Amino acid sequence: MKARDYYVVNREKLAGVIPVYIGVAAFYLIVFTPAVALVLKSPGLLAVHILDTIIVVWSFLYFRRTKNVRRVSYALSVIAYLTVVSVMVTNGVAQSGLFLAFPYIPFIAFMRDPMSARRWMFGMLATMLVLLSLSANGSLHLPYSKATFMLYMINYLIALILIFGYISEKERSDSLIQQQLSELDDVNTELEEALGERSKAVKKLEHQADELGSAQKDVLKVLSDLKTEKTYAQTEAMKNEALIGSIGDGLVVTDEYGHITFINPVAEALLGVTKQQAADRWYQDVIHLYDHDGEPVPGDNRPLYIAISTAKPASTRTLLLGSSDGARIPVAITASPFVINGQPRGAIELISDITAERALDEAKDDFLALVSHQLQTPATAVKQFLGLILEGYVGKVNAEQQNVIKKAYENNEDQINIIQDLLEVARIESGKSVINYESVPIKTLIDEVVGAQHITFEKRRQKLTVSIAKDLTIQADRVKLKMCIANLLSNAIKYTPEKGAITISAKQVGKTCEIAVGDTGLGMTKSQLDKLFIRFARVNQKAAANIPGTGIGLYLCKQIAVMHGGMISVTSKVGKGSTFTLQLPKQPSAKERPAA
Amino acid sequence: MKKLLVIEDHMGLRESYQMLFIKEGYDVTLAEDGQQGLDLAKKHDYDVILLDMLMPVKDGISFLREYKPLEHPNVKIIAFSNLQTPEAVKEATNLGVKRYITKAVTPPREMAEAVHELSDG
Repeated sequence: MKARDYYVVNREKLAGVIPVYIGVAAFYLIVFTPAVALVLKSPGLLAVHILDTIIVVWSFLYFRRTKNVRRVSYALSVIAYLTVVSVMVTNGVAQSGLFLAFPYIPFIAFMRDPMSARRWMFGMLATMLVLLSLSANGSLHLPYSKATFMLYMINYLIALILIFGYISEKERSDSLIQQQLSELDDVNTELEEALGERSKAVKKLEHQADELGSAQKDVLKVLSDLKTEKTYAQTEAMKNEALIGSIGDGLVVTDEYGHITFINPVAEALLGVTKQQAADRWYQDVIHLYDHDGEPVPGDNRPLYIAISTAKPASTRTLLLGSSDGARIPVAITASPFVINGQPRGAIELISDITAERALDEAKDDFLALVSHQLQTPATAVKQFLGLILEGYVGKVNAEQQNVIKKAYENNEDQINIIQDLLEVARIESGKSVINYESVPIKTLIDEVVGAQHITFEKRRQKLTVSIAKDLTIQADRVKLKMCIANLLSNAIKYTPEKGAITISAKQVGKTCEIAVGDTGLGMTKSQLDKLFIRFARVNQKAAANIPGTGIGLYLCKQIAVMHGGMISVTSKVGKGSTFTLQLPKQPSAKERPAA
Repeated sequence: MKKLLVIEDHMGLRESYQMLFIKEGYDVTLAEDGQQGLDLAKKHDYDVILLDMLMPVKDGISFLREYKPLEHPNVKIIAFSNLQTPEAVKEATNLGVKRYITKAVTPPREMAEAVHELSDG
């Protein structure tokens, strides 16, 4: 920072002071100086006064216009100098004029700049010395005494000394301030350095704190992960517990030796033991199973042991469970092994109380019995009445009437067949239908079936070809097998157009009896074939839309074939026809053969 | 004229049998259930009894157990039923039923022939 900057004029403050000066100057110019000039009768003083007035007015106007203090003060100084010098060399002017004019110069100069005031002082002194020397050798006459001149000079010297003193003091204080400032700068630098060091240290500390923070974060993350893991494990455990708790069936878990490791609350209630009581006990000691004759089921016949020994799931729906209160509850049991590295390590068994299901089955049976009676009996009565007319028991009917009655009779037949199919399906599904094996001559059976339906295919003028291997017999349920073949033939008649061909063939292939019924009907696509043996599924074909059917016949055929240990298959070509083939074992296997 | 007792709970069937067998030349008596049939069978001598198996009050099997057909060798009993399970057929046959006919699939003339066969034989 430069020392000179300390002397910059504060313009606002100076502007505030200037009106006071102007006031003083106005008083001096308007009142004081004219009064003195009049009293002294001095034309020189009046001239100075007029000059001063012009200077002041000009200064004021200039300042008002430009606000330039320096220039005003400089102009004032120059004019004052010229005035003083001109007055000094003017004869006959009163000494008071100089007295009054002289303070302007150093004052104005000092106001402008103390340095320039010093120069002005030297200038004034030099001027006075020149004037004094000129006066001394007589080349210039001055209207002042030498003493007055000396007094002025001393005054100027004192003012000069004061100005110098002021300036040197100013410079000293400036340099002191400068020094202090520089010291302050040093201190500041040191401080800045110290601050730099400190900030470095802080940064280092911050870095360390960051590292610590990051380490802490890692630790917290590990802890949080552990906590999450723990929560997850707890949640999983709770989920499993809730899952096992929510299973409405009894759940028993055993090891590979049949020792119980877990039972769920439903199993606890079913078996009348707690989880703790059942733990580690042998399965057979806790779970008492009986067959329908009330005989205890031996260990190796139980699903759990079958599952463990074969490493495959096993199930049954035919056993009774000895419950805690001594009752025998019908149960469905499913056992699944858990296999590790190919070795069974235990099994999970689900025990479902199927009492309600059984009750429902009984209700269904009752309903079916009702349907059987209430639907089939009236249908039978209709058949009998129509039969009485058709067979001429109640007098002759004309050909047209005969035709109508015949149609009614045929439709009634269809209705009876449907009812019988439905009843048979219901019996099979409820497990009530059993196969009653007897020796069935295939030719006789097929003749009976054809005989029962000959009216229908003859009416449609269809050509039936029957080829049956000689003396072919099979061990089967006569009624069911007849039902099955009747269904196949009925379908063939329905789907073969009028005058079409139908074939029935039967032969022995190895130990199997193959009975095939072929038609020359609509045929079916692969997707239609897939749905064929599903209950109530019907071929979705526009051409078949008018062909009556319930979608139960083929389902029944399949059930009957399966019950015999056989199968039914179909080959078909769209537009050409289909052939259904029943493959039944000639002799029932040990599994299908009923106990003697 | 041969005497025929029809034991059948369904009125329609009863009537159709009545019409059929009158036309076939039988003296037909009707009973609505096993008990009525039993009362009649004990009072009168019939040549043939047509017996439904599923009936209210007293069913066919109960009728057979009480009537004991084996003690009435001259009375031919034909079971007319839609209940055609082998067990039912076997039991009825053991109790003395000569023939078991599934009524839903047998037209009137076939029925009449079966009855003629038995009553004549």
